[in-house]
This record gives sequence, C-alpha cells and structure tokens, in this order.
Amino acid sequence: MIDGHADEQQAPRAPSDGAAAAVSFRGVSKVYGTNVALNDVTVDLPAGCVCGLVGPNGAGKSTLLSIAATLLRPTAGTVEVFGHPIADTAAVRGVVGYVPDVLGLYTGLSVVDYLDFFADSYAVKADQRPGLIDGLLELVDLGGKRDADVNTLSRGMKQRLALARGLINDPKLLLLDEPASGLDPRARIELRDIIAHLNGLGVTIVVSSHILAELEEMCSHALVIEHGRLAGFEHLGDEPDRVVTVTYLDAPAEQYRISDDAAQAALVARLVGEGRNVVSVSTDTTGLEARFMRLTAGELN
Amino acid sequence: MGLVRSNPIVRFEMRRRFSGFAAAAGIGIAIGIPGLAVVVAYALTVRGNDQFNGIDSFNNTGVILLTTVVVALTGTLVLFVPALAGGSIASERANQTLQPLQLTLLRPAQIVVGKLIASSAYLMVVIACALPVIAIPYLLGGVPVRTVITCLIVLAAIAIELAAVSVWVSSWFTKPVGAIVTALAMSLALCLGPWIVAGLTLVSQVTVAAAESPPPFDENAARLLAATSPTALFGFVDLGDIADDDPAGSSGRLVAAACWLGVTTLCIRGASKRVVAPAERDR
Repeated sequence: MIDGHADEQQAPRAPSDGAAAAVSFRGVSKVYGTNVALNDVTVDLPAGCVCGLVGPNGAGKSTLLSIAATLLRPTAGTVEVFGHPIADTAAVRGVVGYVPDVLGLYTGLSVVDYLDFFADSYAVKADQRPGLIDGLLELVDLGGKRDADVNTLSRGMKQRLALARGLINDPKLLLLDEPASGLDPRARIELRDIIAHLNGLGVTIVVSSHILAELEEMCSHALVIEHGRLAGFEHLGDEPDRVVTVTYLDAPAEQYRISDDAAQAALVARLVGEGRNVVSVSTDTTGLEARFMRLTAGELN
Repeated sequence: MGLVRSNPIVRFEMRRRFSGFAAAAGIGIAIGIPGLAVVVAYALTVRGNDQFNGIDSFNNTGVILLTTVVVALTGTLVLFVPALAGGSIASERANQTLQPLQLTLLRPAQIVVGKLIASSAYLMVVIACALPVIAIPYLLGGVPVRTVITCLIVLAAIAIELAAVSVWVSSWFTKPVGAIVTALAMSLALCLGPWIVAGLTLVSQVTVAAAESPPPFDENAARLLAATSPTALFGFVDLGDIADDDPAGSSGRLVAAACWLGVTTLCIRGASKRVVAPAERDR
C-alpha cells in the first residue's frame, strides 16, 4: 500500500540492471554568475537506455545535455561519456550526437549538401558519404527531399534533418533537447518511431521533453531535475504499472500497487472474500506523470 | 597546412560566397567605384594638362590615374571587407549554427581560417575583376608593369589583413550588424589612425623645431608610426623614375610587413579562441 504524495523522494542511484554507464555525472555543478543551473548532480545513465530528462523550465535540463555534449564545462564535478572524460572533447564528440532545442540549420543549401558538409566536418571519407547520407535520409524519411532547399522544409522535416545531422558520426549516445517542441502529432509519432528504431540499433538516447506521456512511451528511464538538483532517477519498469484506490463503505480508502488486470481481479476477490464492504475500485497509473508529480511535489502546486 | 587542406569550411564558405545575386553585385560595386574614380581623374588630369601643357604631362597622367584607382580600390576594400567578413562568425551565433559546428571534429582555427580564406578568395576575385581598371594607367604609359603588379599584391595583402580583423571582430559579437559596424570602425581606425597620429606627431615636432635651435626634427618616428597602417604596404610599390624614390624607407617597409603579419596572425589566433566551445576554454 502506498500514498503517492507521502512517499519520500527516491535517492539517485546507479542503474539497476548493472549495465555499463553511457554517461556518468559525478558531483556536477554549473554556476552562471549567481545562478546555480546545476547543483551536485550525481547519476549514471546506463548504456542502451532511452532516458527521459524531465523537469520544469529552467531546471537545468539543457545545461546537463550541453555539458554531456562538451559544449559547456561544469563549474565542479566530472563527467564521463563511455569512459571518456569530457575534457577529451575529440573522443567524446566522436561518440556523441547532439540535437539542440534550436535546430540551427543553414539555409540556401540542399538537404544532401547540408549533410555532406557535416559528414565532411566529422572526417567521413568522401567515398563513404553518399551511402551514409542516403541511409540517414531514409531513416528520417527525407529521401524525397534530398535536393530540396533546407529553407523550404517544414518544421517537422527540419527537426528530422537536425536529427540526421546528429547521427552523421554514427554516435553511441544521442542527446535530444526538446525534440518534439513545435511538431504536429504526426511528426511526433514519427520522431518517437525513429527514436525507438535507433535504440533498437544500440544507441543510448537521452531526450528532454515537457510532454511526459510521450516520454513514457519511449523511455526506459526517467531522470527528473528540479532547480538544478537531481530529484530522481528511475527505471520505469521498477514499479508496478498502476495504483488501485479502493474505497469502502465503512472504512477509509486504501491504495494498492498492482501489476496487471489479473492482479487487480485477485485483489478485489480477496477483499470481498475477507468480507470488506468494497464500494469502488479506481485505477491510476504510476507512470512518468505520476512520478514527476511525486518527485517534484511541493513545487508544482 | 591542415588548416587549409581538407578544410570543409573553405569549400562550404566558398560555395556560399560565390553564389547568388549578392556575390555578383559585390563585384560590380567593387569595380564600379574605382572605374568611376578613374574616369573622373582622367577627365580632370587631361583638362589640367591642356591648361598647363606640362613637359611630363603624359607620364603624370599615368601616375595620377594609378594613384586614383589604387586609392579608390583601397577605400572600397576598407568599406567592403567589413561588410563581407564582419558577419562571418556573428551570423553563425545569431542563427545558432555555431554550436553544431563546434561539436564536429573541426578545430576552432579551421573554422576561422576557413572563413578567412573564403572571404579572401572572394576579395581576390574582386581585385582581379578590377584589373582592367588598374591596367588603364599602364596602357596609357608611364607606369611600369611591375608597379601595377605590386599594387595588386599590396591590395590583396590589405584585403587579407582587413578580413582577418573583421573575422576577429565578428568572433566577439552575437549579432552581425554590430559586428559589421565595429569591423568597419576598426578597419578605418587601422588604415587611417596611424597616418593621423603620424601627422600629429610631425606637426608637434615642427612646432618644437621652430622654437629650438638646432631643430630636433626627426621625421623617422612619424614614418614608423604611419608604417603600422596596412596602407603603408604601398611603400613596396616602386614608381620608378616618376616619383620620389623610397618614400617610406626600408625600415618603414619592414615595419609595415611586420605589422601586417602580426595583426593578421593575432586576429586569427584571437578569433580561434573565441570560437572554441566553452568546455574547451582554459584547459
């Protein structure tokens, strides 16, 4: 039995499956003048996961991603990406793909020329580039737009082009900062499918978003940040899928964590068998939204 | 050499610099202004020669036209280069395209040198397109071909230095307009400032010399000050028998060359430091 709002916040912890860390943050702080963007963040993101990075605006999500991408230097603490300290920028940049929230695309170029330039900038050999670019365009479903001017693409297409740019160096870790912002429902679904596909290929993905329901569908882990502090890091499979609230005729309501319909049926049968006067059984998810509310409780009211 | 060879920025920027209406318009303006100046100067010179019927009138016409076209081209470059290169890095910041570049395996110096080379290459084309205008004094006679070639080389050197200064200024800004205006001010200060300071130094020395006997007049200090201007590179231009020989002096030419090299190198290094992602700074 639980009381969601009474639960203590879970302490950050290492991944439960014992997998090697893709990104390891150790006591990471980032201070801009007097503004503390990140405060002593310590967490290991396991390799192969899809980690949802959630938190209110200004919580420090983009700062955390920028540090992992070698764009920012932490004020304190250490960060390693697949064992490489971020000070070794060349090694880290070789294994990281980063798609910032602002796409930053050149205009006046065709899609294929744009990707060719970035492939060249990542030292991809000239004879390998056409095949690589064709593969990426197929992956992000922009094959029909290869000769189109970047400026003529829709927001969703630009997002996918930025994603292709982030994948041009065949990264082991893909950092996506608010990738779904400004996208229509179809584009969001397509983006989600691409992320799932990439994860299936073994790419570790860290994705920040405000749309918790979407993150829940694609993420194996959730990292919650609030006011620069790590509020929680959870494996989304660790807890039962739902919370059942049972109200009684003659007793206070109770909450139970259960895993599936069969368990819920068994619970109801047991309570009735015990002679308790069950009035109703309602189901709440314990998904990302509920966890986020619990972990950030007191700040969101 | 790695900064130049296999530098994707060079190819990328060249392609952007040399395409579109703006590229053609830029070349048109850069040729039109000196061309107009030559026509006006020629008309005035011929009229003057008719009036005074000087002995060396034909030779003087060539020198005057060459001086006119070179001054006009230099002035055009001073105005044109900041507009061309001043926004090179600032516009990347404004459009937020610099971050993706910083994340690639390109070194900051490659980014800066790539942009400088692309800007300079365009400026070389501009200068080359102005060749027919510059050749007019030679065709009129009285100006040796080596003088015309030296003028072209000096113009190219000035263009490269001003481009380096503009790229450096650009690396400090997040908005291209501010960068271009500041680069323009810097270019003007760099080209005219030393001459103004040198002039003031001469005036003050003349004033002191008039009051003292024997006069401590020494124009070398003023010459060396003026030599710090990129335009002092014209001291390398040999006008042959038709003008005062060695107007800047060998020490002045040395200072001018050293300043050109120093300013250009420092600007490239400075801009590279500004293009480095914050995570790499102070390491």
